[in-house]
Amino acid sequence: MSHDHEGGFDRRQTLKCMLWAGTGVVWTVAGGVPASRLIGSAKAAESGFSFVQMSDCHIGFAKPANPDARATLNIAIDKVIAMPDKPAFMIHTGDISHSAKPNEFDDAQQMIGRAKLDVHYAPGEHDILDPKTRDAYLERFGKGATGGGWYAFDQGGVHFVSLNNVVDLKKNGLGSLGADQLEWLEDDLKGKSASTPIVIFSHIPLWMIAPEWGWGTEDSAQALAYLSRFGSVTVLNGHIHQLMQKVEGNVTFHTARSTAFPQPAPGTAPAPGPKLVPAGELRKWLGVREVVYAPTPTNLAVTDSDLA
Amino acid sequence: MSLFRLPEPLPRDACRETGVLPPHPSRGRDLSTNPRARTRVDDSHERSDASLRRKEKYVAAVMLAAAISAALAQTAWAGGLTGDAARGETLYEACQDCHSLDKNDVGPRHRGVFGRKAASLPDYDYSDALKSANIVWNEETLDKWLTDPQAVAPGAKMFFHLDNPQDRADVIAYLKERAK
Repeated sequence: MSHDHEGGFDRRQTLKCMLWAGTGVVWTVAGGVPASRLIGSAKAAESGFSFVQMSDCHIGFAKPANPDARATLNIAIDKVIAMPDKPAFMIHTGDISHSAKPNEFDDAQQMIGRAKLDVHYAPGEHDILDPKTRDAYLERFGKGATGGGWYAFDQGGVHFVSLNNVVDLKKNGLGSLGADQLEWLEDDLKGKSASTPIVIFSHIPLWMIAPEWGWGTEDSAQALAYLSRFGSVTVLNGHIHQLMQKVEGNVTFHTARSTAFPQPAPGTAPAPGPKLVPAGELRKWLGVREVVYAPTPTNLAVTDSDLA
Repeated sequence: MSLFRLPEPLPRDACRETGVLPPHPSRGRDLSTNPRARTRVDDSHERSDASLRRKEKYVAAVMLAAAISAALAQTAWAGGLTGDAARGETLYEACQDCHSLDKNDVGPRHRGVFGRKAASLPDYDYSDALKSANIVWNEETLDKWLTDPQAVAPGAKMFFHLDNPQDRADVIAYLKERAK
């Protein structure tokens, strides 16, 4: 049986997830149920492990919404370094750079490297602008990945899948996975037990948040169909620079905040894009946020004990 | 197919019926050779009144033509709206995800974009789609572009769009007036 208590929270009641949204999110995995925590105060589950999600660093961005995206990434990395329990690794859900320039990637990797963690990247549309930058991205980050930059790995009994949904953008900039990647995903998952916890991550959300702003992935339904037989699926995305959560069956979706600048909530602005906040308040917009998540009995029911 | 096709001009006869055309130059020649016109030469009052009436008719016709032209233009694009450059500057913050005024970014720099031929900056790597679009950026083309860039140049890099015509007019006013 898995642990019902992780760091003081009772998962059979209300799971309170603390997200230090401006820098990164710590995910603690125990019993196959990843739970997000406040960076700096997270404790790795006694029987599991933790990892960090970093997203939308936009290194190279230097405009009014954040004149120095390097500085805020460095703050994020400081927070990771200061964690009392070292995370097992980091995932980065894209937009590492702002303009896909080599020096931007160099700087980002140098800063992220200070955390001394293995980093598993998924590309954002700012990292791959055209065929030339796609090739450069795959050359830099795609070693060990398939031709299109998607890959999977296992950690502590959890199966992680990194997808690339930024190469062939659709209407309004919607992401897409494409037939080749979907076929690969189906094959990748084929041999897995339904009790295997799955964490799947990509840049653009794999759920339709705001299609008119391109905040969704056109063919994500097919990918989710392949995942439907699994008891615990966690989807982690970036792109929208704000926290959103959704539970659909056994699938829990989370988006992460950026380390660079906020974006407006859907419907509150004419268009997505960097949101200018009053001078001196950027850190507040990127700051600590508490999210209370009340899982349904269905969510808890799928918790496996084979990882304990 | 041109994506920026202007409204078809009204048939000549239809224009005559509306009375919107200024007097055709040939009519002037007709007048000069019209015996009745010559008979009026000696009557200064009549000549003056006739001249005034012609001028009034001409001015009215020009004004009508301008009004109809503007109306036709609005049916083709969301122009005709008065843009607020100050509001456009605020809206432009969203554009800054990819653009700057003075520096190429994900997208090309915008200073001087109004009146510029699309895909003409030598130091920016444009998509083939935009290179072959043969566009000059003005109110009309920018409005179309900001409505749906992929409709204007399928395969272009840009997907950002503004659904509200007034938002587009404001951003265009900002680019025209303050990003020279």
